Amino acid sequence: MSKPNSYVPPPIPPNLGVLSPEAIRRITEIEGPLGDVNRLADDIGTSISGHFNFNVRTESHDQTVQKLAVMINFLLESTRQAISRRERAESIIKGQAFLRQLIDLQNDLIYTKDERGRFILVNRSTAKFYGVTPEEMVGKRRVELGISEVDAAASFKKHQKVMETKQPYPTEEEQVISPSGQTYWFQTSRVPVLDEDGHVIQVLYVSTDITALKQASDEMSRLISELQQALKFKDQFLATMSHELRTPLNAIIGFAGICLMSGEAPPQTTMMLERIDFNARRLANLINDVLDISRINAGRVEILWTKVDIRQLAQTWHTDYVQRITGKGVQFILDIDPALPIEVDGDSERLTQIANNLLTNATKFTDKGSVTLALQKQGENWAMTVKDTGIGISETFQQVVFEEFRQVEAGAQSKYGGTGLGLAIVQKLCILMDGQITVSSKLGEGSTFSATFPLRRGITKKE
Amino acid sequence: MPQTKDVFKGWRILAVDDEADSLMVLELLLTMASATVFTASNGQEALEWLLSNPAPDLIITDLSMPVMDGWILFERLKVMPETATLPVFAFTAHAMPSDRQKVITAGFAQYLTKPLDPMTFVKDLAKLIRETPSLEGRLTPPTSSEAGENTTA
Repeated sequence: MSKPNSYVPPPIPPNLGVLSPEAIRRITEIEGPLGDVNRLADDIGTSISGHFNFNVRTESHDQTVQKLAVMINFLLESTRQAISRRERAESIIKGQAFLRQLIDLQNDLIYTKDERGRFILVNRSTAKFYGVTPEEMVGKRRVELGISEVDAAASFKKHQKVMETKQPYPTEEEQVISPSGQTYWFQTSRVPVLDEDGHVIQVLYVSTDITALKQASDEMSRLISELQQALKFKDQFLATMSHELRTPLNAIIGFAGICLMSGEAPPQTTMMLERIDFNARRLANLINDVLDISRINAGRVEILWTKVDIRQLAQTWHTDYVQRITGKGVQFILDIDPALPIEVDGDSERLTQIANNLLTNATKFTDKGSVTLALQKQGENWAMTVKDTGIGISETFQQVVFEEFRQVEAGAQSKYGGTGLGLAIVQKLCILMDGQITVSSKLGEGSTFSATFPLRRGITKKE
Repeated sequence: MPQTKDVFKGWRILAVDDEADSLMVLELLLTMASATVFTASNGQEALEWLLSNPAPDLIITDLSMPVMDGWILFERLKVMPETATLPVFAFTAHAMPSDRQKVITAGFAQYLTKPLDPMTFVKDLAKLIRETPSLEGRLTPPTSSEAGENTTA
């Protein structure tokens, strides 16, 4: 409220006739305070608000008028103070209503409790959780609203901690059973509310309902654990299956081989023994390949990076295959680029697995001409290329040749054998070694498989 | 077919397996390479044979067997002074990559997997014997016919 102004008296009307100067002085004096009072009376008659911003003049020779003026000023001041208080209270109430609306809009449970844990301020979400109105909650403790003694006691400990330390309690996740018996998860913050003297008078709570989140994460954990269990079971199953299949295969391959080696069987029987041997080996390879691909797919094949003398390795591969290939009347060419460094980064066992697969395929599908194993330096990379002059691969089949269980048309299967997993394994191994494999082929002319790897691990590939 | 007739001439080999077929395949192949083969169908039988016979040159044992498995047999052999130094090869259908590690870590001298390849078994076994430090010099160097192929069972 602004400072009271001095009242400016109205001019004396000119038609008062001739008065002595003394009379005029006295009239003026009386006119001063009494005029002000008169004005005041008009104000009260119309409206009280905002019109008390002046004081009645107290200059007068009349002591009674003077006293009256002082008294009125005193009353005026009291009235002004009363109005000011009322306005302040109104504005506080307006502000509170706004805050009230604001907190009632929140989905979070927002409330304060006094030092004994009794609810003071409660938003609508909080009341809804307890199944009552906000008004019904005020002054009550949690146990009185249907929370178990144990839960309430645990919560009150934290409440007391805030009261004692005057510090916010670390935000944490809490499980709460609602009065209706439902299980909720809340993330709750507890903050002290201090008075002017720094005493904790209340604790302010903000609780976010994270039940849905918690349920989703629990569900996720459960699924992960089930998945891990299933994977473990799958591993055990594969190991058992592998063991149980190998044992009879050992007998089949063993006896068939011994019979063949004895050379005593008649030609027809020998032919059948050879088919038994061939098919049993196919089955054995299938077991190995299935185990390999499942391990690779499960990400459990690790590359043991070492320095690999790739030339020497290629010589070993040549030695391993030269008899098999030349035995078919096919030439085996080893072509090593002199620009290749002495050592490259890689896993010799995996490289051998790749070479074995490619050379076995080339051998299998080539009856005349040649099989070439070439090693070349290609910038920052090196390539292992197996080129044959065999039956070739149709363009359609080239698209899917690296997919699992893909094989050349069914008729050829019985002739050539194989599991349909070899090239899938090769491609996955190449990728694991930061490399890639490509195929180019023409039916009836032959196929070329080229696996490219970085010379040094970690060097980005260039095409 | 590789010429392997006399590779194990003079060798006494104890083969242990609960599968009669596996045992017979081993016996036939080793006998074809001129070894003298003794058989036992579990660890217990093998121990009993060992206690009443002169030590063999080599023991080839399966791992999963009833009564006494290959693992326990191996442990028992290691704690008896008269058998502690005998070379023991594991011959098993447990052929997962982790199995090899387990077998070698346990102390078996070598690890062979089923199914074996009868065409190359004798040669492969001879190669493993030559690579086994405790059997160094016990086998004559490979003949030219043995060289060449390198196939694992």
